[in-house]
Amino acid sequence: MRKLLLAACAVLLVAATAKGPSDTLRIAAIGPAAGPCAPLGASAAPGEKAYYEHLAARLGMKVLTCPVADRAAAAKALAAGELDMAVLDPASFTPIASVTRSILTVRPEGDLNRIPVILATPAAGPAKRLEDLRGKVLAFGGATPAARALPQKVLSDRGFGANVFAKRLDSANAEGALEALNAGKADAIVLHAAAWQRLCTPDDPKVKPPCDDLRILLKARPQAALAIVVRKDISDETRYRLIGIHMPMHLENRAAFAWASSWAPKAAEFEPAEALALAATR
Amino acid sequence: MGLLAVLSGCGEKQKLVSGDWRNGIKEIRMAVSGSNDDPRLVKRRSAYQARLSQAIGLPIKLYESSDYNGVIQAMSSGQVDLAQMAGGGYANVDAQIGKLAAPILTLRQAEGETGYYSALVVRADSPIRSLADMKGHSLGYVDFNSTSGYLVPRAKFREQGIDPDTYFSKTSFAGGHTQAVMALANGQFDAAILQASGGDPVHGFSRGALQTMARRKLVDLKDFRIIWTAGPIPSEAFVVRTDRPQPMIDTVRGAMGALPYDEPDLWLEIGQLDGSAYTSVTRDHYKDIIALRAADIAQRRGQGGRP
Repeated sequence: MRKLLLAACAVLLVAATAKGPSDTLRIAAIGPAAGPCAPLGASAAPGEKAYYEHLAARLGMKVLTCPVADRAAAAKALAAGELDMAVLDPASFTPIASVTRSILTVRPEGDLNRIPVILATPAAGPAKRLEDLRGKVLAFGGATPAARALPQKVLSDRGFGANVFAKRLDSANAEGALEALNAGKADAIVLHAAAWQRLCTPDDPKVKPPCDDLRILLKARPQAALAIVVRKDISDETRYRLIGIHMPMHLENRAAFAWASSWAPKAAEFEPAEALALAATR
Repeated sequence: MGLLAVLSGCGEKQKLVSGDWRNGIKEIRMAVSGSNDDPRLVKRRSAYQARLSQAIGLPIKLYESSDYNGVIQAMSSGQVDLAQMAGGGYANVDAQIGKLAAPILTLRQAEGETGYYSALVVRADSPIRSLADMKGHSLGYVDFNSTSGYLVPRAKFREQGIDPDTYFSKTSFAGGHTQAVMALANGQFDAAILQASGGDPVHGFSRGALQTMARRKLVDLKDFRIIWTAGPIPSEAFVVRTDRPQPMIDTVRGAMGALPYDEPDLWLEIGQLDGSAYTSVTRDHYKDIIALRAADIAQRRGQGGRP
């Protein structure tokens, strides 16, 4: 059986090589009329042409546009190997999460990266999961967007909007949030990952880490609303090249970037993404 | 790529690569500086080496230098393909080879900044509330070779019409950021220039010598006040030789850019701040440092006078 499988693979590899399957990149294009993948038409928008030409030049291959009706159809075609790259949302990504992955999102102008947020409670306390904190008090640490708006979004992504909790304490900084927790004024602290790291990793190794008695109930990045998705069977080198071409696009080719990121409001730059960026992971 | 799904079952991942840019290239050479005594630095080098080698499909050879100048010269002479270096180091390379080298990535911290600041700090009980109030008062710099603690603030003073050599009653070097804080706390200076990061002048700072010493209970943040800042000063960059194959540069950028998202635990183990990530930059990001370096070179040649 193993020999049979190897032989089949060999045949398929030879066939694939003969067909030259790696000489094209097929990109989903949502529009009114679905159809087969084809080179970009002469009537394409200047920004679209700039994007396709940019990718073709940097990858050294043909780039085809694949008209699909909507994101769900794009996801289905991507999973089936009928195209190679698509912009998906959480709803279209979820059914194909086992065979695809996010590679890029867009950071809006003036916004943060999708930085992780940590929610922690006293290890000896009763809360063992997020649900146990319904009706409880959360302490936030700091006045920056990373300290307030971002943690709130991460919790909301997971169904824990502000109305789920009894109250939020806005401390001046992470240390203040921890003081509130230790004083029993709050049931949990919510910090962005860098604030947590600074708070919990004392510079002096002789000092006991102040977070040793805490239990992390959640560490997660905000869920992406949209992301560029590829199949998981794409090679790492190809994925890195796609990321490496997109990351500086806003600096190298403004027209291409404007078109390629037009699905994201106030786009500033492409940002790499973890495989499950479109999922509200716990 | 139509047969991808089937081929993946054969254990062969699909590459979208036309031709092989690796022809004739046996290895990628990367220059690094710093001490082997720092275990986090050694781990970071190893992690970068392994990741880039896996991503590019070629061995990564490290060229280690004990000082910044070794890295600068290795890049300028073309002995290496890429290097990680501070803005001042890149400015030096730029002065030597111009467009043959380019920065491609720098770190963007969790709070969004891609650099750090110089902060003019006084004691909280001081009547000094602005740079204008500093006229005739004493000032402590960090070190003659410090970018944030000397080079940048002096340049910014001049931009604001202040001659840093005559405006203050006395200036001297504390010898380091920590020493500058202690000297300020002890009343040795009326104000000190310090590095500040992890925030911005609007929202405040969460990192820097003051914050580090406060966390260690050596000082209390309430005893100090920032009255002036300069910056942001761009953080260090991944710099590449632009005469290398574009696919190599794109792959390096993508592999390094994806690292904090692909391997968040490793990202922390190698000493990076949680929530930080790489962002793309060009020469333009370092233009102020390049200009300062040029002015410094001009002064050294006796064209502008010694500070």
